[in-house]
Amino acid sequence: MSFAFPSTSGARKPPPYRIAALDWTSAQNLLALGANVITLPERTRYGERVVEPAAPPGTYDLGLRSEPNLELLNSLAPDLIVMHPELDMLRPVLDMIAPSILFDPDANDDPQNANKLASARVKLERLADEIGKLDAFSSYMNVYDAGLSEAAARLRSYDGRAVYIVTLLDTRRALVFGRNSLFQSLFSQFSIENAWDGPTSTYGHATVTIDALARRPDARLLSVGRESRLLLQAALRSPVIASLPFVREERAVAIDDVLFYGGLPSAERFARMASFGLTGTAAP
Amino acid sequence: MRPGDVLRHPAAVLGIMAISAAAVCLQNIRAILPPGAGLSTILFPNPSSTAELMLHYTVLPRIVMALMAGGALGLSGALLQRILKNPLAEPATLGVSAGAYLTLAIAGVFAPSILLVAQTWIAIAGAALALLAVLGLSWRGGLSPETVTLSGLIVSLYCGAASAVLTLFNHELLLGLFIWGAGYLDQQDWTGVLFLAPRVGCLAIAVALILRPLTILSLDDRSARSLGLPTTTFRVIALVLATALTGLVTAQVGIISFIGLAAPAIAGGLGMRRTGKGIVWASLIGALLLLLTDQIVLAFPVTYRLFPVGTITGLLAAPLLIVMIRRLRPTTVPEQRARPRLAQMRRPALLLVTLIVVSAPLFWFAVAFGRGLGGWELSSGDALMSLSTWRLPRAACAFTGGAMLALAGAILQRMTSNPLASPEILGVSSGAMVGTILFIMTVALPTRWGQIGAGAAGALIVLVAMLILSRRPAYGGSRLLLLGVSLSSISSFIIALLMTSQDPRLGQVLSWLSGSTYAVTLSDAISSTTVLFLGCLTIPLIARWLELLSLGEAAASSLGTPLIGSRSILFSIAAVMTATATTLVGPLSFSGLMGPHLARLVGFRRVASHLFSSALMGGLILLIADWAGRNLIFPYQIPAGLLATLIGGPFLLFLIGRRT
Repeated sequence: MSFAFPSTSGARKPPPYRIAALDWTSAQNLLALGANVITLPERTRYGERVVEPAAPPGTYDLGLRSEPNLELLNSLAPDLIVMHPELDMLRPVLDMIAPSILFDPDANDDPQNANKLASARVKLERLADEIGKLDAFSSYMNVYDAGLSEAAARLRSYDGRAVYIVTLLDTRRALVFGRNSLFQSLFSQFSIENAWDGPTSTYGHATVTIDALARRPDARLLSVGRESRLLLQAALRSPVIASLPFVREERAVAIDDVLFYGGLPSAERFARMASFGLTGTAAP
Repeated sequence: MRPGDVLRHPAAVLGIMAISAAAVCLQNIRAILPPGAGLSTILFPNPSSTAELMLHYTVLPRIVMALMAGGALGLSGALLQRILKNPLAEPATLGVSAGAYLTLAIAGVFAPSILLVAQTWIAIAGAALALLAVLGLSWRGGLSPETVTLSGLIVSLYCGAASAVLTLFNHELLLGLFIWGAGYLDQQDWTGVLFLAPRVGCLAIAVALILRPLTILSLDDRSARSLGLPTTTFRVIALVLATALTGLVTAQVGIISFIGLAAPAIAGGLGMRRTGKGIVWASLIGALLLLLTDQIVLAFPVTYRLFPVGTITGLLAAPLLIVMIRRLRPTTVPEQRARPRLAQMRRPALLLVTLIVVSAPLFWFAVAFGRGLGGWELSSGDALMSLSTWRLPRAACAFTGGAMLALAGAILQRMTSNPLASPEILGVSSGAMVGTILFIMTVALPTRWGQIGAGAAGALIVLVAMLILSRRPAYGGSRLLLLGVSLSSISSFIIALLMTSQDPRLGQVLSWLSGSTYAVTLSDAISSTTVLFLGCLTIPLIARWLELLSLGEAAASSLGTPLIGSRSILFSIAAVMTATATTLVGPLSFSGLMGPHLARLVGFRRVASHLFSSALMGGLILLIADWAGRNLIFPYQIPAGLLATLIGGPFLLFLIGRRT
């Protein structure tokens, strides 16, 4: 989906703003810019799944991501609402509360450019501009670039094997990330080959039975998420997978949750954890 | 012998199924088999060849699993149908699969570590509990098919709604369960097969041992008792066996619907009606049906998602069922029996007025009282005006939506003299849903009136299809229900297919499917109130038709009722009501079944007052559900449709249990 910017509706007062984030991606990117986020949905779970940047203690929980509570939102009287385009149908109602802008780091304005990171960067800069925090953008980019170069430095010792990036759903099936995913863009930047070249959805993942991972016996396995880590050993014991060299040689590693459509903050978190995991070094 | 007659020969049908299943299996094996390797490598794979290992550890156990699971489900369905003398009995309609799903969901959220080690037992416990609930409720009525099916459907809906709520709030935790529930047969080794085989085998042998008493039992209770048979004991044994079979299979492969319903129906349609033969043939047909379906699914082109066989069994079995229903013996199930008459109210009009008078303050309360930033508050004045912006459209749509579904349900129950008839169960809601989704997907700017129109067209198509299909010999209660369930399964398949397109517009559709009033606006509330008002205006006009039609076609016709004309108008009203309500509160809400029953239990017997009070009851159910859904776990919200099922289900079950 692509949008003509500026997608702001309604008149706005000048910054700084008390901002309501209607989804995790918006919340994560706003918090990375140091914005004053007063509310976000499913706050506890945000702390478990998205983890960083953490939401400040006084942040209100807005209820389910699929149905953020409009009554509560209205009584919080935010200056600005930031949300994913999926919630665009709420726009007429939200206009009664506060001006709103759409934010989707995954959306690609230029179909020729498949690099999610480049477009996520452009989107973040636009967001920073909209909320009057362009200087916060440049200081965040310094942090981001530093994080990525540290990860790249760590990965210099990597043996160069292709990697399957998976989240196990149970002991037999997994989400595998490939073309069109945030993780793939990051790996391309580090010149690491993604072992999954099969079909993927718009978010860059596919649901497969784990025997599908047998196509590249030389590969490595990177499991993302805490539940996935619990399922990993059981999944690796299945005969087809157990016969693969990457299991025999213990080339499977597990890292914690990363939001796979969260733009640059998610990418930085993934790069850091994956670079530690793949090089067998421990995070400080 | 004409070519058509060959097809009616049971062995020929089975042979055709076996050959086609074998052909698809072979095709799928060839696709993986490395060049030069013989078929024997399937049994004795070369440990260094991943392709041969895949055939041995994924493709072959999947085939065995399909045969075993299909056979067990067919067997279980055949047993249940004989014991309960009910052609609609199967794991899904008795709430057994849904019970297993719910206990697994509860375990997945509250004790995931137990789930890893004891999944099977948890599922079996859930299946058994659900069946116990159903039987307990209908025990006093002598397990009459009508009550058993009604209780089963309600337990099913109830467990489904409870699981849906758990899923709504624990989506990530239950991703695995979600996939399991859709029904997949894929395997990664032989452990599933090795676990299931001895257990299913033992249960099958146990069934064989009680086959003789079962045969006698299927004649009738009195002759069985005169032969000295403890009928209740054998019934309970057979029920335990059937539940254990279903629980085992469901725990392993998830919810595979329809095999348990279709296999015995097909066996019966082929003339295998005697108990022993019927059970054996139902197992064989079930096994082949599931294998064939699953192998076709396996041959689908690879996309980014796995396609569940559970969805497709419904689609494949539905047309078969529609054909086979024609050959079913006409049964008395679940035709209205003469019941002890409930006390006829002396002053229905007075009570009706009271109900309406009570509804008004309830409605005000639902809007004015609720939780906000400062906790519970009863608002008035300006604060109430401001809150009304958010609460009024939702309360109004919940009330009118529930009322319209209940009105449609009451009309359908009256027309078909079938207490189970309701827009949800007859597939009318599904028709409305498909119509609306197709409209949203094809039109650039779908207006609410357009959605209602498209939904009404879908609902009307389903109703007309039911009318044509069940035309002869008359409206047999069980036929109509079977058709309704079949049509629902076809529409749920279409919806599943649409969902795979991952169109962003479907996000909106998804939350609507769970029965949420979240997205309704004031103009929606106005249009739905208008439609409900018009619907209520027709009640005095259609009440006489419904009263006369209940006397039978001949009587109604001789008293001057235009049969075709009155039916068409009644069906059209039901369709418009269902469609309007479905676009507002989704297809799940269940008030179409509950409203009319509650009204009847309160004591409204005459047609006009029953229709009015049904609408009022249905409206109040959803109004309360919507209020509770907005406030119980503020700021989180539970969709009204789901909550109505959760609140109303046990209440209705209690009433049914007391009545019989």
